Amino acid sequence: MQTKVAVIGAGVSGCSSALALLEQYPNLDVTIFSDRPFEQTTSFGPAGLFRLDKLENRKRALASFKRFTEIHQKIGGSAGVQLVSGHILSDDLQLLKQQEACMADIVFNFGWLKEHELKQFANPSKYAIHFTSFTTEGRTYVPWLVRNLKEKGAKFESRRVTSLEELGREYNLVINCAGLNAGELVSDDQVVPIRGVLIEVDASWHKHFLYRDLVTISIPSTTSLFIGTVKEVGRSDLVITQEDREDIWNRVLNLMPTLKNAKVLSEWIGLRPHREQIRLDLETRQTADGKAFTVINNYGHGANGFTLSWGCALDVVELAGSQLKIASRL
Amino acid sequence: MSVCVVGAGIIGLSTACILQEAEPRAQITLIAEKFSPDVTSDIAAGIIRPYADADPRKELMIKWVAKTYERVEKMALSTPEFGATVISGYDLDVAPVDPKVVWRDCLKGYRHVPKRELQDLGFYDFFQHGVFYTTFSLESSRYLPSLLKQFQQYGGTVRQQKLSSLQDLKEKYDVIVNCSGLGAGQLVNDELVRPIRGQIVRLDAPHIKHFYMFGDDHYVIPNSNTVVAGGTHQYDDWSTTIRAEDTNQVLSANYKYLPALKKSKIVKEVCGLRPGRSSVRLEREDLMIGEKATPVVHNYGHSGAGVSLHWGCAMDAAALAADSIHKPTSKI
Repeated sequence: MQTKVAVIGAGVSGCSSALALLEQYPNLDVTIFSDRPFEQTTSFGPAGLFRLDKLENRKRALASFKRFTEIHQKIGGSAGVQLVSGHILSDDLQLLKQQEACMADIVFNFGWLKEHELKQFANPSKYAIHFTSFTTEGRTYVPWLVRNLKEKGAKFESRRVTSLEELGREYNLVINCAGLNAGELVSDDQVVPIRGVLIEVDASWHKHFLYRDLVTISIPSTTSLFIGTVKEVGRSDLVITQEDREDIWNRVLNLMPTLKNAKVLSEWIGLRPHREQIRLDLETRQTADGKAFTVINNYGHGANGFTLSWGCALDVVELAGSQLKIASRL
Repeated sequence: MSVCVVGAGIIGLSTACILQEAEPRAQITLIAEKFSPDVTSDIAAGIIRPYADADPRKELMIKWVAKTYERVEKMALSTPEFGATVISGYDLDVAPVDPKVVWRDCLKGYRHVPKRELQDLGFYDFFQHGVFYTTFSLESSRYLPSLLKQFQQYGGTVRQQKLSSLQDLKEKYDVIVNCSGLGAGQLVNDELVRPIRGQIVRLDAPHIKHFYMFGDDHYVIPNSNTVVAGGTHQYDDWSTTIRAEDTNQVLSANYKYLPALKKSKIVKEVCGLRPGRSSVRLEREDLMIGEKATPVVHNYGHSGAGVSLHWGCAMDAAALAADSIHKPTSKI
C-alpha cells in the first residue's frame, strides 16, 4: 500500500517540506492542504532576506543558504531569489555581534564597517555590519515552489483541517506546517503572533538592503522596495493603522531620507508565527479506530521562516525517512 | 566672463555646471548638435569605475575618478532625483588583481572575493579571482536631463546648433570649452580621435542587484528599470546600426556566466560610439576664432571612461577656463 502524505499549510514551510519530500521520494503521494488563498497567508508578504537570529538554527540556515545559492544560479528572478548586499546599522554592539555569531560564515562578505565608512549613511549609527545574502520574496518564491510541486504531481486541496485525526484516517504521514494555527492542532499554546508591517514603495533604484537595528528595514524586491516594520508580540489585527504608518515612515526616513516622496504601492500586515523554539519532531498517533499514523511537526519559525525553510524541510525528510522506508515500496 | 561650452554629453553638461559654480557671474552658453536622449552618454550603463585603458597617466586618472566618486556620492544622498545610486558588485578575472592596485582607495567596501563565494556563485570555472566593491551608477535618462535643467535654472543658456568648426561661433567668447566627444575629431581636426563602437542589450531582469564585470569585456550592470548586458569594443567602427551577431555574442557570453539571465526578456538593443583617444585631451589651446585670439579648453577623448571621470575632468577644465580669463592669450 502506498504511503499517503498530507501537508497542512501551503506557506513556505509546507511547500518546502512537500518539495523536499518529493525530491527525495519522487513517487510519493502528497496532498497539501490550505485553508485560505495564498495572498492571505503569512508567507505572501515577506521580502525574505536571509538573516538568522538564533545560534541554535545555524545548521538549518546553512542548508537553506546552499539551496538558495543553487536556485539563484540556475533560475534567479523567476523563482524570486536575488543576491543582495547591504548593511545593518545599530548603536547596539551586542545585537550586531549576535548577527556575526549567527551567520558571518554562512552569508558572503560579512564584515564590520570602519568608522570613516559610516559617513556614507545619511544618519549613521555607532556601528555597522555589511554582508551579501539572498532574498526569497514570499509572493514569488512560494508560487515557484507550488509550480515545482505541481510538476512533481503534488495535489492541492482547499480545506481547513480542524483535527489531525481527520487526516489520519486517510493519510499515513501528516506534516503539520500550519504556522500560526499549528499549535491548535497539537494542543500547543506556545505559538504567539508577532505582528509585522511592510510597506511596498516604488523605488527600483535601491539595490541594497539597509536596516537600523532589526526593526527599521528596507529590502529590495524583484520589482519594488519593502520598508517596515514593527514587532508587536501578541498583536494580531491585520489592518494597517495611521499610527503604524507614521511610526514606520519616521524611522525609515531617518534611515533613508531620499525615500521622502516615494510612491506607496501596497501595505501588508504579517503575523510571524513565533515560538520560543521551533518545533520540528515526530510523534505517532492513532485515529479513533485504532489506525496508527505519524505526525511530523514543523512550525514556530517566527521571523526566520524563509531563512530556515529548506533546512527544516530537509529535517522533515530525515524524520520521515524511516517511516517511508518501512511502509512503502518506493 | 562669457563662456561657450560645446557639447551636451556628460562631459559638456558637467563642465558647464562646474563652471557655473566656480564663476557664478559668468555668462555661459551651451551649444550642442544633440542632447539627451540622443547622445553617446545615453547609451552607457553609467557605472563609475576605474578604467585602465582610457589614459596611461595613472595618478591623473585616480584623481579624476576619486573626485567623480566623491561628488556623485554626495549627489546620491542629497539629490536622488538626478538618478545617481549606490551599487555594489564584482570585477572578475582569470588573473589575480594586484593587491596594491592604486585606485582601490577611491572605492568603498573594496575586498577580494574568496574562492568559496566564486564557486557558490558559479563563477569559479570561468574566473578564479575577483574583487567586490561599492560604487555608483548613473541613470543617464535622468542624470543628463537633470544636469541640463540645473544648468538652465542657474542662468545658463542652451542652444541647439551643429558646428563644423569653432569658426562657426559668431559670438565673441572669453573662453570656449570644447567637450565635443567623438565630434572633436572633425571639429578641431584631431586625428587621434576614433570611435570605439559598443553594442549592448537591455534586459528585463530586475532580480539582478549587482554589477558583474567579467574579465573578458562582458558585463552586466543594473539600471533602474533594465539591466545592461554588454558589450563590444570595436575600434574605428562608425556603424550605428544594430548587428545581430553582436547581440548574440554579448548574450551568449553573459548567459554563460549568469545562466538565470536566459529567462530574461530582451527590452532593446542599442549601440553607441565611444569617443576613443589614446589619452584624454584636457588642456588649453589658444586659437584665432574669427579675428579674436581665444583660449579654448579641450575636454574630450574619454573613451569608455566618461562617466567615471566626468566630475574630475570638469573641475580641471573649469579651472583652466577660469585661469584663462586671468591669463589672457598672448599674441598667436
